[in-house]
Amino acid sequence: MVKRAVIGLIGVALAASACVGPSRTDADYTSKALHTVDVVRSSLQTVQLAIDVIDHGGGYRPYLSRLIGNVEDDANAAVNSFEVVQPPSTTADGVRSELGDAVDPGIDVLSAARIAIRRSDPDAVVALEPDLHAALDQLDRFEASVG
Amino acid sequence: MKRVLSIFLGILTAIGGFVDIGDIVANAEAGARFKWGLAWVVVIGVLGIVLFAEMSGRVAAVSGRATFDLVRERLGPRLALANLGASFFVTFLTLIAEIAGVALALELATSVNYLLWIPLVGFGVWLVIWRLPFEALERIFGLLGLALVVFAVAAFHLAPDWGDIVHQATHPGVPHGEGIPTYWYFAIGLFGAAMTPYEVFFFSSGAVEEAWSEEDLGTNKANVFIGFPLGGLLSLSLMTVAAVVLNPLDVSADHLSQAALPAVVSLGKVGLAFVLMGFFAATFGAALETGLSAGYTVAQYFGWQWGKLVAPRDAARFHTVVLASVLVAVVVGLTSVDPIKVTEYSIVFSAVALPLTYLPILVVANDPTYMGDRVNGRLANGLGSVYLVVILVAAAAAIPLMIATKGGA
Repeated sequence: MVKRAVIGLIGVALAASACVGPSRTDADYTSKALHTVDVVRSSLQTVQLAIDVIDHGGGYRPYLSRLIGNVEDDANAAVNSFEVVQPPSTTADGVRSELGDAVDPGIDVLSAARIAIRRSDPDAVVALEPDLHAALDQLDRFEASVG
Repeated sequence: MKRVLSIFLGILTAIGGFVDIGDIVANAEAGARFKWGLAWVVVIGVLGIVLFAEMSGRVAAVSGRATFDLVRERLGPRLALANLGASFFVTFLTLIAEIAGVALALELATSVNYLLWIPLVGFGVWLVIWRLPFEALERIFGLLGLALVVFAVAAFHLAPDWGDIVHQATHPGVPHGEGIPTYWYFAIGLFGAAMTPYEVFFFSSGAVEEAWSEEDLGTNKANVFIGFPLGGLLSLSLMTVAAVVLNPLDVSADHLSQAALPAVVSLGKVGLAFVLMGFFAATFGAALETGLSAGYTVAQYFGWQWGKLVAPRDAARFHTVVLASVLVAVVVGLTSVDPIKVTEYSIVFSAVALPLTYLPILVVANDPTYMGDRVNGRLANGLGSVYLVVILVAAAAAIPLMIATKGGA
């Protein structure tokens, strides 16, 4: 009996800590949007650090390939998780649409960086730096408008 | 001279073997999100593991018996069985995390997906446990784990403002944008990572494997009082480089690749080579320790013959438990469950299970029947009692905080 209760408690704890919950208010929905922006920003800044490493001659392709692949997956997962959350109002519809516009350039940069590094073309990753900065600016603008 | 060399090697092994996947993930994440605001937890965690590892080593050296052997005797079969269930579950979860950690380190070195590495890593872990003598497997991976000193070198090379670090570490607070529950959730994770129960099972069983006697109490003290705190400095180095490089850019450390990044930014390819070697050795060594600990706990509870000093045919049930644990861990790892999430859960559940491990050690270390005149002194008992309260609070708060913060998201 006790054993079952403990196993049940562990199961509930794991499930409850892993779920993306629904949003009942605009404030909660906006907070989830801002969290998504944080994840995409973290991914883009990671690629910026990878560019710095390549610039200083420290690039090792297998490592950089996994690094960029990992953060691209994170960004895509965050955006996909947000997209399945039901907007609670028409105001939230606006946030949803704005977020899409804000994160899309970043997602494109991450994909381009992953493709370039897997083609063993680190120079192409470095060449993405202006687009990367533009994508970060876009995230900042979104944050300023809804934050 | 031979004894001095042996003690020196033991200390180096303790330093290199101190860090495992839980420490790597927890310290890098904490540094990236809270800078040095949680450094105090590492200090408390290291002091705690020093205190209880010394006790368990002393108990093993004086009584000739390992922790779980005594747990059953002191708690009785029913309560000890519940203890075994919880301790084995946490150790097994940690084993999954360590095997996946080795596979992730190999993925970073080769770009081959970690899922393809997991069966090979599982086989390698079993083979090393099966073939290598106890002292060799402990020493080799402990010494190779010293490659993680690269994080300390990177920390100095990055030339941070040390005054600011000391100020933040001594004036901890919750940074802007982070919630108080999240801060405490990470604090418990760091505490659980430093005081993982398997470390004590392995340490005390290892003392029995190496036939420690009262003459070895000096070696016990040297390993614990010098090796573990220096190992703790490696944890703080991981936190420091993440705080210096990742935090200012709002970069999280959700992957092993990101935990490695500050050292690569600082030291380039050479730094990366050491990081990958260190990650591999730390996680492989810990996979050996958790695999063996799974066998130790079960065999010691049931009173089976155990250990690597006896021929495998004489400890068949012990080796079967080790093999089955590694096999099941490989199968779970292959389900593509997120290894970093498994690591995070393993350190939080470690915190939940801590009282089950540390209360019996404190009780036995005070029992003259086992310890003669080597029972705990006043300082050890005072600190042990304070730690028991801390451990109970951490254990009670861990799961509610995990749910409230959605696993620290």
